[in-house]
Amino acid sequence: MSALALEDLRVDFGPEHVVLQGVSLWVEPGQALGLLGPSGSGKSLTALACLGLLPTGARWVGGSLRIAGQELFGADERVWQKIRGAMIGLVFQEPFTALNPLMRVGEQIAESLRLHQGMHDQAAQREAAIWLERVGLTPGASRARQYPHQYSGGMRQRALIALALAAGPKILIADEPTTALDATVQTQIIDLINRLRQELGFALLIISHDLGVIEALTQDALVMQAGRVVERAKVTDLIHAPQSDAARRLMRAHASFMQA
Amino acid sequence: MSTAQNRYWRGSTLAAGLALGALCLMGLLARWIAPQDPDRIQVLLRFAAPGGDAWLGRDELGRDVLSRMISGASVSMGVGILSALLTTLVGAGLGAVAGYRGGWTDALVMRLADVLMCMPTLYLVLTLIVLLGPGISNVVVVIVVTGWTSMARLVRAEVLALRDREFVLAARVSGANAWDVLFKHVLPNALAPVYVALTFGVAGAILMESGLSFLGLGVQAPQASWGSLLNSGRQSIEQAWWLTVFPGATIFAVMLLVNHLGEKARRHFDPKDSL
Repeated sequence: MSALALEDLRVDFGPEHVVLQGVSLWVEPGQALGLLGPSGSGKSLTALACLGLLPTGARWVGGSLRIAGQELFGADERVWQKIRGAMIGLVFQEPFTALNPLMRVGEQIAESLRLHQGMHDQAAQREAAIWLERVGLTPGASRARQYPHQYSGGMRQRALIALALAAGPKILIADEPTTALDATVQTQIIDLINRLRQELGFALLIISHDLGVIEALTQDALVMQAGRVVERAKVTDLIHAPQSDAARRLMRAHASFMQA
Repeated sequence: MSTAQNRYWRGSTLAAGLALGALCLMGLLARWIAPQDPDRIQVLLRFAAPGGDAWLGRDELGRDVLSRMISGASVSMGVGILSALLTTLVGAGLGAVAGYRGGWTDALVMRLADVLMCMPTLYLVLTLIVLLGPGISNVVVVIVVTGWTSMARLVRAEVLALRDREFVLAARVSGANAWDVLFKHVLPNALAPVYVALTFGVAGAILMESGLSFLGLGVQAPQASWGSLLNSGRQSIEQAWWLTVFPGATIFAVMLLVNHLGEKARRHFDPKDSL
């Protein structure tokens, strides 16, 4: 049973604007899968769809979405609330705006623990501090009492990873988790995700237009273009022998960038 | 923020809170505190200037202004603070739900607000108070019914801007339900302008009460309120300045105090500016 299975997912903004035209992808338990593609190819929308959080105006038109075997196409909001956080987590691209500025960081993590693990307030606060230590924010107890504006960008992304994983999801979607960070922090975040995956064994769907990021996190990748999956291959094959147009363009751009 | 400013804010907040509390207490204990009977008419002493046994002077019927102000405190403070709080509660609640839910909820709430706002406030207030009957609790009801609309608009606009922010999405990603998302993540971030509007609401309500009392639809004579004192004093402003200056200054002072507390509340809930 796949941790996450999308079959022929179709999403549109009205009949004239079909944005996902039948996306199929499978992530096996513990596996890491990269999702590559240029801007506007539907990567982020696919990620949001996996959480049942389509933006205003977007509609599910068809297809199937299963998380740990449970069909979620057309599931109502209550079902989704039990799935989100507990079965599937999401790390955002932009760590600067993804934490509530008025809430202590520990409290935001504790909220998720209370919701999904039925923890009492103090236990949840303690566990939140442990999670902050686990993602390298020490000392956890005092970091937990701080507000987001007291964190740097890299620290916020670490906190967001803790938030996404706190309730023990079996799959983590990371949507361009390093794009907004500088190069040294990028490597730290990638190392952190790899280490946590070894410790916790969750499956990973990593979305990026940056081949280097994908390569550092996984061997398997999909290439998306214009709302379709156009290629599924090993990352090394993608680099050396891209089959699809979109992949070739990405590789060319990547190569010329590396030479320059 | 420097520690000196810090100390200023903490000390002044305590002082403002105590002052407002004292005014409320004064209103409640008016019967025992007032130096004279606030309704006792002494025509021979009409328009007596401040001084002697009437510290703040006497009005056109020779009644002691200080005693009347003390006896009117409960009405003004009660109406002012209660209706401002209720207006905020109703307006912010409805505005937040309308902005967050969108769709027909939004349409229903905001069209209702539009309808109320497009009617001249005075006519609306008069119609309502005639329907409900005069009296001080009905004044509060009318102020809330006519006043929630602007608060709702304010909060709705804030919520609309916040609704699609990433931290709100992040809360939903964690599995929070709509109620938690709205009241723990969206609304607290929308409150900064609400504190300011709330303080103006207090002054507005005190003045609205005075207007209604002037028309005989609020407090019933001979009961005084600061607003009604201000209003009736206006007729003799040239011969007796103390009839308008003292109630006016008191309303102004209350507004300043509430404003200060509102600013303090805003800072308190903003961690970047926290004390």
